[in-house]
Amino acid sequence: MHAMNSGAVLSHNEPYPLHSLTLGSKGPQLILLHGWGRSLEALRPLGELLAKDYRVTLIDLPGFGRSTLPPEASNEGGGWDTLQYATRVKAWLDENGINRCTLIGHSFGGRISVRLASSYPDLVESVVLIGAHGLKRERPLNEELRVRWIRLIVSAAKRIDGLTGSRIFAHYFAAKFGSVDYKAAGDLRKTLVKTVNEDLSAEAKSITSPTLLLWGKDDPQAPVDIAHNYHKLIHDSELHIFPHKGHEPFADVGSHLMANYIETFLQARGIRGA
Amino acid sequence: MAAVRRTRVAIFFGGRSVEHEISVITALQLMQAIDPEKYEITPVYISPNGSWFTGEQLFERAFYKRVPSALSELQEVSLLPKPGVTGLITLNRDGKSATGSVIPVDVIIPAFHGQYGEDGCIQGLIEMTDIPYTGSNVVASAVTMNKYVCKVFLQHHDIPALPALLIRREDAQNDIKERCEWITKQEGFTSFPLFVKPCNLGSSIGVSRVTDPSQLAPALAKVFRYDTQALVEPCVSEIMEINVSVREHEGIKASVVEIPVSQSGVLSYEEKYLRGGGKKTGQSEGMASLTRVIDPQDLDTELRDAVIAHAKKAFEVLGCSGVARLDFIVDLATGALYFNELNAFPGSCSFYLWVRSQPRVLYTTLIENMIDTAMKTRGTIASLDRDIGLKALK
Repeated sequence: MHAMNSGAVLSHNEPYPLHSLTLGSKGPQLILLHGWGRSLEALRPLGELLAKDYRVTLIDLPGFGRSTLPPEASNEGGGWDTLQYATRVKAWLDENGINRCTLIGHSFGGRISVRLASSYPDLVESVVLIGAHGLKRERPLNEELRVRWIRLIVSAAKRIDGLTGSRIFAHYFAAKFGSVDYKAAGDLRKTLVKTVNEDLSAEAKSITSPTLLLWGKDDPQAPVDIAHNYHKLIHDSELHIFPHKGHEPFADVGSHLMANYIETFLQARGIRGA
Repeated sequence: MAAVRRTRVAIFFGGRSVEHEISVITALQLMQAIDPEKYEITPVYISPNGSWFTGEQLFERAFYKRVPSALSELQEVSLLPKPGVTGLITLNRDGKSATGSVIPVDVIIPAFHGQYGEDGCIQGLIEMTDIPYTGSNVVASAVTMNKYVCKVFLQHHDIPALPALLIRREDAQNDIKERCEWITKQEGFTSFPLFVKPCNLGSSIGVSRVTDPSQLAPALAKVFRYDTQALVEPCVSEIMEINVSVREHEGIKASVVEIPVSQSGVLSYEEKYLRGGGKKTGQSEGMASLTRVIDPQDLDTELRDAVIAHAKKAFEVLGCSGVARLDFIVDLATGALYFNELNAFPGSCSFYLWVRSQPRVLYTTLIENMIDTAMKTRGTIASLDRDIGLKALK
C-alpha cells in the first residue's frame, strides 16, 4: 500500500487542527469521512484499496480520532450541526489546496458529505454515501408511537428538572432511553442531539453531482428506507443494497466489494484512476 | 438491482476435515466479498459428521457458535451424482428421503480445506453432476493433497523438493520400533532433527519436530491420529518459508510472494489460522490474519524469480485450476530452494497476496474470475466427444 504523508495539518489561523491520512500519490482526489464515534481508521482498509489509482485522504472529524474538538462544538459551546462540520471540512480542503474531489461519507460522515455536495457543487465531483444518516426514518407505527411517548415523558422530566433542580432526566431517562451513541457522546452530546434530528431532504434534492448509494440491507442504524429516499431525492444517483450486510458493509473483506463498486462507479462517471 | 438473472452459486464449506473451522472462515469471507448483484448465493454447510445443510442463517458468523444444536433450524440437502438435476435436492427431516424439490445451482465453489473437500473427493462427486465448479479437478486435487505423491511428481518435473520417507500406519502398528530404526538408517535421515507430518493434511496439524530417535514413535503416533500415512523429512535448521499464490485466469499468473513469520520454528495450526495476527477483535480472519511479510523488497530477486517460476510450472504440470498457494522453503545455510507443499484451495483464497500484486486483484474480482474459469472449463469438457453407447454389444 502507499502510506504516504500521514499527520495532522495545522494552519496558522486554526488552533484545532484536523488529523488526516493521505494514501496514494496520484489520480483524482477522494476524501473519506467516517461515522459517529469512529475515526479515520474505520475506513482505512477501504481507503488502502482505493489508493491504488486514486489519491485518498481520510480525515478525523473534529472531536473524533486524533482531531481535537473546538470549544464551540462542545456541550458548553452549544454543539455543532452538520453544516458547521461541513464548513470546517471545507476550510480544511481549502487550506490543503483541494478544489475538486469525490466525497465518500459513511453514516455521520455521509450527512457532512450531503451538506458539502449541496453547498459546493463545484468542489464535489461525485459523492458516495454508505449507510448515511440525514433523512427522517419511516418508522413502523408501533416504533413511532414509542418514540413519541419517550419524547413526551423526556420533555416532562426536563420541565420538572428545570422547576425543581432535580436530575430526573440525566439519572433516569437518559440512562434508560438514551442510545449507545448518546450515552457515549460525552462532550459531543449537544452536537449529537443537533445532528441526529436534522433532515437534509432539501440539501439532498439540490445535489447535482453523481451519487453512489451503498447500503447494507440489514443496516439497523440507517435502515434501507433512508437509502431509497436518498435515491428518490438525488437526481443523478444509483443505489446498491447488499444482503447480509449491516451498517458497515465495508467491514473486513466487505471493503473489497465496496471498493469494486466505488471504482466501477468512478470510472463510469469519467473519474478515472491514474 | 440488475434485471438480468444472477448466476446461482453454491458455496460448499465445512466438511469432514480437521480444517473444518478454517473452511467456515474462508466461506464467510467469500460470502462477504462476492458480488451479490451478479451472483445469487446458496451456502451449503457440511457438518463434521458429513450431513449437508443450507439456510440463510449460514451467512451469519454468530450462527456457528450454536452448532451443532442449531443445525435443526436448517434445510438438509444433498447432491445426486447424475447430470441433469442441475442443483441440490432437499431432504426430509429423516435426512434420507428427498422432498422432490431442487435448489437450482449454476456453479459450485468448493471452499474446503483438507480431506474430502480439497483432495478430489467432492470434486469427483461434482464431476458426476456436470455442474461447473471452481478450483482444481479430481486428479490435481488428489495429487496435491498427498504430500509424498506431489513431491515425487514435481521432482520428476525438475522442481526441487526435500527427500521424504513414507511410513504407513499399518507398518508402524505392526512394529513401530523397526520402523523407527529403519528411518534412522536411510541416507539423509541419520541425523536429527527430523520433521514428522501427516501425508494427507493441508494444514500444520499433527506436525512434529523430532530432535532424537526416542521422539520418533510418539511423533508418528501423533500423525496416525489424523492420517494413515506419515511423511518424514530432514529438518532444515536455518529455514525461511516463501509462499506464493498462482491462479488461472487468461493464462497462469503468480502473485507477490510472502514470508510467514513463525514464532516457534514451525507454524502450528493455531499460529497459521487462529492466532488472529495480533488483532484484538476476538475474531479469526483465517490465513489473511497470519503475521507475514508480503512482497518483501529486500528478498533476493533471483530467489523470488525462482520461486515464481517453480510455482507456475508446478501449477501447470499438476493441472491445477482456480487459485492455489505453493509453499517453498529456503535452506539459509546453503541457499537451496525446495518445494514444500501445494494448497489446491488455500485459506482466504490467498486474496491478501493478490490485492498486493500487479495488477492488483480485489477479492471480489478474484472470485468472479474463478467462476468464469469454472464455466469455461465445464464448457470445454462438455464439448469433448463422448462416444458412449452399446454399439459393441449390438
